[in-house]
Amino acid sequence: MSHRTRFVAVLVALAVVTLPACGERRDDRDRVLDYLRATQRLAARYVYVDERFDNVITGARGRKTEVQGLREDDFKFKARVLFNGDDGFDEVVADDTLAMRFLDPATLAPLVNKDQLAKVDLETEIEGVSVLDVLRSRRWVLDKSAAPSITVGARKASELGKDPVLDAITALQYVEQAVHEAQAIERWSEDDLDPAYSSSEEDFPKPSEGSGVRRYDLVRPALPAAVNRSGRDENAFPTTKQFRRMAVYVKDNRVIQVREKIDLRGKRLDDFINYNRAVLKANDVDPRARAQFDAGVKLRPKDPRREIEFGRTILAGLNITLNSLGVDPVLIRNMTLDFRDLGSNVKVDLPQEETVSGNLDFLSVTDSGKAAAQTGSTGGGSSASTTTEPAAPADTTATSAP
Amino acid sequence: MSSRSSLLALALAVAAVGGACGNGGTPDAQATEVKALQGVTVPNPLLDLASQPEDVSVVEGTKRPFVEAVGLYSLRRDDLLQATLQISRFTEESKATTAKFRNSVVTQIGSTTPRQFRMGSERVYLTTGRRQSVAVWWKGHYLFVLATRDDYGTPRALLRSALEIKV
Repeated sequence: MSHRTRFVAVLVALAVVTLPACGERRDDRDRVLDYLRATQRLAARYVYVDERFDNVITGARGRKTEVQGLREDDFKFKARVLFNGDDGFDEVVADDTLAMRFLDPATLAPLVNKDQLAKVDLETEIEGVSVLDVLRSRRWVLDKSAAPSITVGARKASELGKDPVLDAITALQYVEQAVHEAQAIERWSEDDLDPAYSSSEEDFPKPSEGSGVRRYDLVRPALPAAVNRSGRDENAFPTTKQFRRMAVYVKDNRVIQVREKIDLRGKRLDDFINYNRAVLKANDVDPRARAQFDAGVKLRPKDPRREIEFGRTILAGLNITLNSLGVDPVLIRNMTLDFRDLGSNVKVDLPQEETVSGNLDFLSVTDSGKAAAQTGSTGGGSSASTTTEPAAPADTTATSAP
Repeated sequence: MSSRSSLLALALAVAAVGGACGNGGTPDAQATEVKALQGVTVPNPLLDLASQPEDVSVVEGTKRPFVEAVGLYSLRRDDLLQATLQISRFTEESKATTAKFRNSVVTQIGSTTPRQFRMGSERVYLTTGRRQSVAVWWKGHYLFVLATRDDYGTPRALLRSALEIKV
């Protein structure tokens, strides 16, 4: 066999062994989507954490919201919500019934929709005691028809943070949307020469050998081209997906853990600084402004922890621009999702003792409370609904109750 | 259109979807004479609604692809129709137990893309109709379609009760 023939034969052999077995090529994106969908159907215990950070530009305070929950099926679940590590409230949904109890009555006000409160009959079976009185006294209130719709699909990032239990219940749909938005999905390997995240950014847990756990990383899409921006094309601006690092951990074909960090550090921060220089140049920005930008870049700290804060400040600055243009801002946060007892016989029951029946339609966790809140009338205001910093995908296949 | 006509219109619409499912069965299976459904007991009441079998004679004797029997039940409170439950039995030849066939039927019901959920051990598809929510599920060769008024107070509890109907 001549050298040339042997070369062709090797190429053909390679082509044959890489052909998919049955004409349909499945990649890691398909696999992860399958794992997500399989996990979504299972009963489970879960912990969902959404951590926001102080915003030095807007002054908004950061907060860590944790949801510890049980899911029997898609219509029966219960959860305890903690804020900065302290008990906040309990929520139980069993088909159409919603039960709420505020362990810390201070967490009630941010969930009250004032307009809706004025319309709702607040009487209870206890004479002279309103639903609000009961909730403030840390007791359960049951409403037999106030269960929120959970069939809303992936939600806009701007909605995340307002209803922590719904965020947790729909978290896998959020992850599914992120998987679709990623440029690619790569199975993590210690020996990967071209990993999804450079060593300057890599800080997700590594699966230990022999654990049976596989980790899949979402590859971020490239930053948009630094062209002249006279128009309002949303695709011309960087959004959440360009800053999202996310790792999905899988065992026995089920998702057991998700880690997400939407931030700017290491090599990605280098890239973004260079990108900004290119944008400033392409748009003929005043040289003095460009010099100011370069002066700001020189303040970049060397300490990795402070570098992350620096990166968040840059993203907060980007969000001011995006907000002014009507483009969804970048969702700056850390999120974790952990599952236990997947597929086990988890049971969710309504509280039986010391419960009072009443109307909960004034709470923003209900459909009525949400609907009114969307028209801009959420009352009781405080950080619960103001720390959210948005951007992302809307679902186009919304399905109404049940 | 009377409420009975509306009920039948829904029944016929669902019975007809089998026709678009192609590749499913033999030519015989594609032109089956529809009969009234026998042998399935819908509890009365179903949750808090009075259930009553409705006359399906309009459909009886017509030829529908893959569907061999249809039952239609009204669910009322104080004479006001709150929901309807349609049960269709597909022929053995229809391959109604395959995911492909089932998906092709389910995607033709409702006005939004049906989404799959789990209630108890059952997979349920939810979609919407005109001012109503629609739940769809399969048990063997039987297709269940529960259409509930939007303003009915406890649609999920009703669905959970309906899921217990045995075939």
